[in-house]
Amino acid sequence: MADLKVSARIGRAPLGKRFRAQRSLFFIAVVGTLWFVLFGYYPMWGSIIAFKNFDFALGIIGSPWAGLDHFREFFRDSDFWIIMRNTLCISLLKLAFAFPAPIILALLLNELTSTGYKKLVQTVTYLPHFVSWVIVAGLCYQLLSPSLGPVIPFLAKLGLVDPNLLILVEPRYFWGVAVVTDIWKEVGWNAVIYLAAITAVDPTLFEAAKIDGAGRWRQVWSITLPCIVPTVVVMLTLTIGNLFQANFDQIWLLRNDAIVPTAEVIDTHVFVQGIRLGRYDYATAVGLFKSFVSVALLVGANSVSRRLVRASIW
Amino acid sequence: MRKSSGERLFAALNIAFLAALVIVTIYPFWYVLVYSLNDGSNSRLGGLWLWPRRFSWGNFRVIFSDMTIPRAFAISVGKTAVGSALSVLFTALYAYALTKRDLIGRRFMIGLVTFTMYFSGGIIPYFLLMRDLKLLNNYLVYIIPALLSAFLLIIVRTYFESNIPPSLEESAKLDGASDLQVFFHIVFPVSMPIIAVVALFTGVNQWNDWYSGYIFMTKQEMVPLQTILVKIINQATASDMIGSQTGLDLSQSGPVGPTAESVRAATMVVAIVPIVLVYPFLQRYFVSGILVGSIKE
Repeated sequence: MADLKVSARIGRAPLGKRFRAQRSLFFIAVVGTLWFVLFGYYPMWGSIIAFKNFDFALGIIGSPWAGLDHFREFFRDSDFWIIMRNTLCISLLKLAFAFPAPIILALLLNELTSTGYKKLVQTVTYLPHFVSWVIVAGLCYQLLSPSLGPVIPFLAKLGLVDPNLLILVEPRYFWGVAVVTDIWKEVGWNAVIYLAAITAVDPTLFEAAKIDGAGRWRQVWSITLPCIVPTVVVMLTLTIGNLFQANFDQIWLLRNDAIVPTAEVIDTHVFVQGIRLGRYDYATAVGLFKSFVSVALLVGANSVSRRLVRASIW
Repeated sequence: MRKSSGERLFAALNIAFLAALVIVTIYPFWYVLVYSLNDGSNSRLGGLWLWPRRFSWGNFRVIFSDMTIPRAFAISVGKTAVGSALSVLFTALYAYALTKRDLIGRRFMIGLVTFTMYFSGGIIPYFLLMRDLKLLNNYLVYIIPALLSAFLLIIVRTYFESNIPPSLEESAKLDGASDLQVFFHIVFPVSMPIIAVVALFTGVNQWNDWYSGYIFMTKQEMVPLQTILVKIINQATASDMIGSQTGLDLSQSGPVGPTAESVRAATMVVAIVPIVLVYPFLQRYFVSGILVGSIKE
C-alpha cells in the first residue's frame, strides 16, 4: 500500500525522464544485479549438469543428457541410508539440544539482577561465534587429545573415561561432539535475538502479574515465554529449513578417516565426490536433491508457522 | 520486594551456572595460549593447566623463522582489508540505489536478490563458474565473489530507509547535488553505525574464510592463514609443514625446544589474536546489526 501511494505522488514520470534523473544510481543497481545473476543465478543454471553426463570438452550445454541417472545412483548407493541417517541424526540432535540452549541462556541472563555480571557473561559467550570452525576444530584436537589437553586426564581422574580415550577418532562420539561444539560456539550469540525479544516485552505486563501475586516462575511461564513465541517460531522455521545441511564447515573440519561412518553427511559426500574425485555431475545431483528438500522444508515449516502463530519469514 | 528462599536459591545457582559457562567458554582459548607460550618439549610431560611452566617464545620463533606462516598471515590481512573495504562500498551503494522508490526495475531487483538467500546452485556449479572465470589460483577469488550478500544488502537498505530523513536528501538535491554526491557527502557519513556492521561482518568473514583458499587455490603460497591451519590441523602434526621447511625436525625433539603440537598451538594463537583485538568493536556493532537485520519491514 505504502508503495502505491508514494508512486502516485511522484506521478511516475515517463521512463526516459526517470532514467536520465537516476542514471548513476540505476547504473550501480544494474551492476549489483548482474553480480547476483553471475554468482547467484549462473550456478543455479549450471546445476543442470545434474541431469547430464558432464564432459569438460563439451561444456555444460554440449554434454549429453543423462536423465535422472545420477539421482538414481545416489538413492541406490549402499551409503545412501548411512548418509541420510548421519545428516538427519546430527540435525535432529542439534534441534533437540542446540536449539533450546540459547533460549534457556537468554532466560537465565534475564534473571540476573546485576547488569555488570550480565554484561560479562554476554561478552565472553559471544567470543566463540567470531572465530572460525578451523580454530574450533583446532581447539578440540588440542583440548580433547589425551596427551595434549587437560580434559581427558581430568575426566579419567574422576573415573569417567579411559585415560587413553581418543574421542575425536571414535565414531560413536562424533554426533555428541558435533552437538556440544555447536552449542559451545553459538549459544551466547544465538541468545542475543531472544534477549532482545525478552527486553521488548511490555513491562506493565510484569507489574500487573506481580500485583496479582505471580512469582518469578509464573511470570516467566505465563508472560515471557508466550511473548517470545513468534521469535522462537521464526528461528525454528529457519532451523527446519536447514535440517538437510548439517553445517559443512563444522563437520568437514572435525571429520577424519576414522569417523567417516558417523560423520559422512550430504554436504561432505558432495565435497568428496565433486571436488576430490571430480565427479561433477553426480555431486551436483546430490547437492540439488539437498537444495530442493531444504526449500520444501522451509516453505512447509513457514506455512505451518504462519497458520499457527502468524509468524512468517517472508 | 522480598524474595522467597526458593528464589534466592535459584539466583545463586543461576550465577554459579553462568560462571561455569564463562569458564568453559574462555578456558580453551586460555589453554592454547598457555600451551603456545610453554616450551614444547616441556608441555609433552603433561600436567599443564593454568600457567606456562617453562615460559618460552620458541614456538613463535619457529613460526616466524620461515615465510610460510607470515606470508599466509599477510594474505589474510590483505584479503580482509581489501575485501571488506570494497564490500562496504558496493553494499552501501547498491543498497542506497534500492532505496529509491522510482528506480527502474526496483521490485524485480529486490526479488532477485532476496531469492538467493533461500536457494543456491550448490558448490559444484559454483566451483565450475570460478574455473570458467579464470579465478582459480587468482587472488581475486578472495574478493570478487565475496563482494555482496543478500543479507547485508537488506539490512543496510532497511537502515537507510528508516534512518535517513528524506528532507536531508531533498534539501541537498535542491542545492544541485547529484545522487552520488548526496550518497558520499550525506548518506554515507551519517550511516556509520551500519557501515561499521558491514565492515566488521565482512572483515570477520574474510579473516575466517578457509574455504576459498582450500578449494580454489592449488598454490600453497597463495592461501590465507586459515587454510594453512586446516592443513596443519588435518595433518595433526605440524612438523611436515613447518619443520621440514625450517630445517627443524620437530618430531624428534629433545628435552627442550618446540614440538609439532606447540607450534600448532602458536599458529592458532596467531589466527585468534586479530579477532580478539577487534572484539570490543565487534561486540558493540554486531548486536545492533543483527537486531536491525531481524526487524521486518
